[in-house]
Amino acid sequence: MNELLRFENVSFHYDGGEREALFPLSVRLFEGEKIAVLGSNGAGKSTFFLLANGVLTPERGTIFLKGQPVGKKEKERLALRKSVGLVFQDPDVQLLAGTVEEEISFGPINLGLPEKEVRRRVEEALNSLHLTSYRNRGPQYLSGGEKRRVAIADILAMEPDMMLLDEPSSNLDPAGRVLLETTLDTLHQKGITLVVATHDVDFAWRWADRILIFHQGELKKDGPPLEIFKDEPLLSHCGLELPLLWRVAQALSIPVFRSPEELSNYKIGRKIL
Amino acid sequence: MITALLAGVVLWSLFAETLPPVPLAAISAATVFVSFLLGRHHSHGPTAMDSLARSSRLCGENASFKAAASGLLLILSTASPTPLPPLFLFFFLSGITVVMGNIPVRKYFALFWLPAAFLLLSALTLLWDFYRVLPENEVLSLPFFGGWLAVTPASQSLGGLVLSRALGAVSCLYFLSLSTPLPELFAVLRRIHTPEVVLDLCMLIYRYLFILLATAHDMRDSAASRLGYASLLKSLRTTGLVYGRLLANSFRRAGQCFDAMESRCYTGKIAFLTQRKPLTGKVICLLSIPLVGMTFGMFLT
Repeated sequence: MNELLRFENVSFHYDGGEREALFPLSVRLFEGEKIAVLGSNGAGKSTFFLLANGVLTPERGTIFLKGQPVGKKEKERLALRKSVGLVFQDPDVQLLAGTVEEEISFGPINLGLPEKEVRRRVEEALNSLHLTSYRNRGPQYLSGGEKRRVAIADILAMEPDMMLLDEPSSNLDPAGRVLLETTLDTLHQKGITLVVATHDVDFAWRWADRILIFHQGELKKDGPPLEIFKDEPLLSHCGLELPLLWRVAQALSIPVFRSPEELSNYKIGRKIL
Repeated sequence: MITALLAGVVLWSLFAETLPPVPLAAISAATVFVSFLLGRHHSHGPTAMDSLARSSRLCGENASFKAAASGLLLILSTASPTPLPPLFLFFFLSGITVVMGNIPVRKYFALFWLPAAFLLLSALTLLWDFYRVLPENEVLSLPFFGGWLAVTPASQSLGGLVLSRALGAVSCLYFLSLSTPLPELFAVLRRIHTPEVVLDLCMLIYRYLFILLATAHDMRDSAASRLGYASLLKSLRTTGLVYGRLLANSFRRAGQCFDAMESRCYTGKIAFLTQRKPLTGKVICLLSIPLVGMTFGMFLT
């Protein structure tokens, strides 16, 4: 696996010191991974994302993009933003154009691409997220789930290697959540490395192949989901719960499954026996 | 209601002695009644125009042409030496906006209400003038603090001209704004080299206006649900608190929005891909009729 992004002893804190900060953080993210970032509010997830995207610059330590250190020069930060896209938690913060189509074109135009290429990317992003029929709508006339899809299309059109999504399932209805997971699968199939910040441990268990746990600005644990959820003292220390399927498995003394479907198949199998 | 009455009074003063009193009274009363009925429904928010423009059937037409034609018609209308051409323009453009654009008549008139109040008030002050001695050729007069308020034929023709010019001009602007969403107008302004800073500001204000209004609306609702508007004193206090919070929220939000723009490689220039809308024969024909008519109107008189 090729390394995409590396944090080496990166620390950051905000002026005034009240808001979440990040203490020396070292982590490596690789191509093709599906990573869930867990942690309660103020754990440092958003700061981590803003640093990884180059909106914030580290106070100490260095960020490496594909092995190259990212300095404070505007050009290097732009390269980081181009390669690592960030979908904000509140789509209203992100959406700024008058129509969906214009909105998606903002990023590619900023990349300085020729018009033909911008058009191709906008079309492709519209198609991938099933937004073609919304192209002339104003963002103010979209529902929460639709806004979220536009926000993801915004970043997809920039064709990043890695996409960071800050709590993408917040404010979504159940149908919107299902659609979001399908969208994430589509993005992953396109070869984009995904990093999703979330509170939803069930989602993390079902979806991720690696989990990072943040607590009060520190990376407490980094590993595959099975290993993470075995560490119950750590979870309760960080204010996180066990996934529902884990609790079911514990109560029934059966193995843990990745999805409810797997569990129901197992039950049927036992009944036949 | 007040605007409807105003419309009746203005109409009456405008045509007193040019029309016989009985039909004039009937027309004025009918005007009051019809404008009262049409103006009753203004449940639209400040964003009604935007959604109407987007749903208009004329929205697909070339924005530059619509803007240029409306601008030209606006000039011709305000420069017209006689009242009739702008009046025809008003009816013609309102017809196009409503019929061709498929915009409900009720909504069109409801939107006309705000400028109508201003127009009628200014027409009223032009029509009625204060005189120490009653003028000989007065049409209507009222004694007023030792002098006279009176309408003369001269003030009638001036009032009529100004009113019809203004109606024509407003209909031009309404035609444009009810058939062209603002972002497309910004693109037109960009093409005629309006400074970037102004356009970027317009664009951001346009977008965040909707968010600000939605936030203000939600905050008002939540304050109302906690009886924040139960009495006059409480209303004042709550209104102050809501607007104070709104300002604080706006500042916080502005920071977040800037971060979001930066994260998409923003380097100081806001640009979008604009959709190409070809110029069609339909809109050229539609707008050449009033253009030719108005130009003729200028030279005939």
